[in-house]
Amino acid sequence: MEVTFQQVVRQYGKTEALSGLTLNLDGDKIIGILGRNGAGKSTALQIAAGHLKPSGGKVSIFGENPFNSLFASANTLLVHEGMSFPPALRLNAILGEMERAYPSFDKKLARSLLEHFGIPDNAFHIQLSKGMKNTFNMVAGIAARTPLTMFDEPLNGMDAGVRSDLLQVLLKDYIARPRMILLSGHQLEGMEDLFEEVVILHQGRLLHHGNADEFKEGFARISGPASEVRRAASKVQVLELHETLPGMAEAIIMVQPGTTLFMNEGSGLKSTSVSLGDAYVAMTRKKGGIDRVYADATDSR
Amino acid sequence: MSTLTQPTAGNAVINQFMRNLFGRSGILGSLLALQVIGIALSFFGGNGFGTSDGQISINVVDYSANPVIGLTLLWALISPLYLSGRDSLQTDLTFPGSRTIRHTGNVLYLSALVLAGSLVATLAHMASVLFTVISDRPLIMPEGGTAHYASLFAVLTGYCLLLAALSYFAGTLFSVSRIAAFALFALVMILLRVTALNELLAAIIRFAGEGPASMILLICLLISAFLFLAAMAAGSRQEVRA
Repeated sequence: MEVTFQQVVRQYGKTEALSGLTLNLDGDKIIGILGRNGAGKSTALQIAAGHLKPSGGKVSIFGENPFNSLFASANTLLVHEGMSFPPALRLNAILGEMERAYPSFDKKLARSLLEHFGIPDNAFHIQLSKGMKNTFNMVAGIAARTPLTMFDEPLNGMDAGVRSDLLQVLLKDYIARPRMILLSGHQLEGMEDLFEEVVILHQGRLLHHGNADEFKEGFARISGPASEVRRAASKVQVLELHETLPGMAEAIIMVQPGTTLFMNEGSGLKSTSVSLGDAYVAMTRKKGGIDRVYADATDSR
Repeated sequence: MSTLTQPTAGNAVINQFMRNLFGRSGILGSLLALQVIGIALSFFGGNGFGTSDGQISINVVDYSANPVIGLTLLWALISPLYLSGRDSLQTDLTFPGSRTIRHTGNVLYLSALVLAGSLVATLAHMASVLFTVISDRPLIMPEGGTAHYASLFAVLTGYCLLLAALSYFAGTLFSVSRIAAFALFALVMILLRVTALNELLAAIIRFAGEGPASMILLICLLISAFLFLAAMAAGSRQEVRA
């Protein structure tokens, strides 16, 4: 196993960010680390990168405890919003420093990408806008080509064009030089097609780990007249059911692998696939969802 | 299949040293700036007095490199705080290394700068006697010649390193645990039976003035080594949350 978490606990004071996370990741794959805010994604990645020490449990990256391991650190890179570089270095010099630190770093690729995205290489990292900073960080992460590259919410603040271009580059570079890439986030726009596997964290624990396509196929969205949706939903496991328009409803249901949904013609029901983002959100949503919260809060007045 | 890199600790320490040199040029720059200011202050002289009885007029001006020495000591006290802080750690975590390697690179870097700073201050002190080479004015040269300057260099290096080590240890401990830093400070004060600032200053002056230069340097080196090792031990658990 290349990345192993065994009953890992991490506490910040009285708050528990990871509550006994057990996870095994192996092989050169692009893996999505998904979860709601506070699920423990960033903490898990920071522990894997050796930035944080677990309060309990064992972590192993390439067979070593990443905290204070030169070997693990030389083969791992965590790209995140708080990533910082030596303050006196301009971007071009930072790329030079990265090239010196990471033997597989492709400076030519990094410079070409910076030019494409209009980021001047004579600027200081601290001068860049949030989107440009994240773009630079992601470019550095892609070009570093470390055997384990982790991107924590990498696309924040980027415009749609940059996001799409960067994800294309990431995929092309991954195909050319396969390695393990962990992509974490809760806004998956454009990212979900890259995932070969998904890991879903919820409340500091592993909720699901498996093939991304199989995971998506396990869900379906049915929509139509509210009575028909409720009737159809009564026979399956429903994750989410809410009214869309007066008299109309929509439900996200879990489908057993290999089963086919049959809709009565004329019932007005429609079945569509569910995006990865909607699926994990439905899976981790509290019972009743926001409709229940709002109804409970307003009914009591 | 990706290939794993087998890094060496020596290379990682050199990288850390070079990153400090080029990526944190403010540390070296501040030393240079303070020493230039010190040299400028030395040039104008100080502690002068004059007297006259109508027949004879005596004006004494003390040209010394004391401002350079003072500002070098100040730099040694302040700059390690920057190097040992959380921001620096966060930056260093972007690059391959471990906490021990980071501290080793930082200690070597600080030691190199302390040596360079002390050398410049000593040279400034040697040159300060030249400031008084002004025609028609009597010149009193410091006694001791080369031995005097060698002693100054040794003592200054020792004190600068000691201050840098103290500051680096405090900075590391403070970024690991503020409570531990304050508790340790209080403990040291109690152990030294220091209850007032003037007693602390007296203790420092006693320490500063005792023994030959080589002994002072040796004591300073030993205490500095202990403090740097203590910083490494305290910093081995140092972490930073993004």
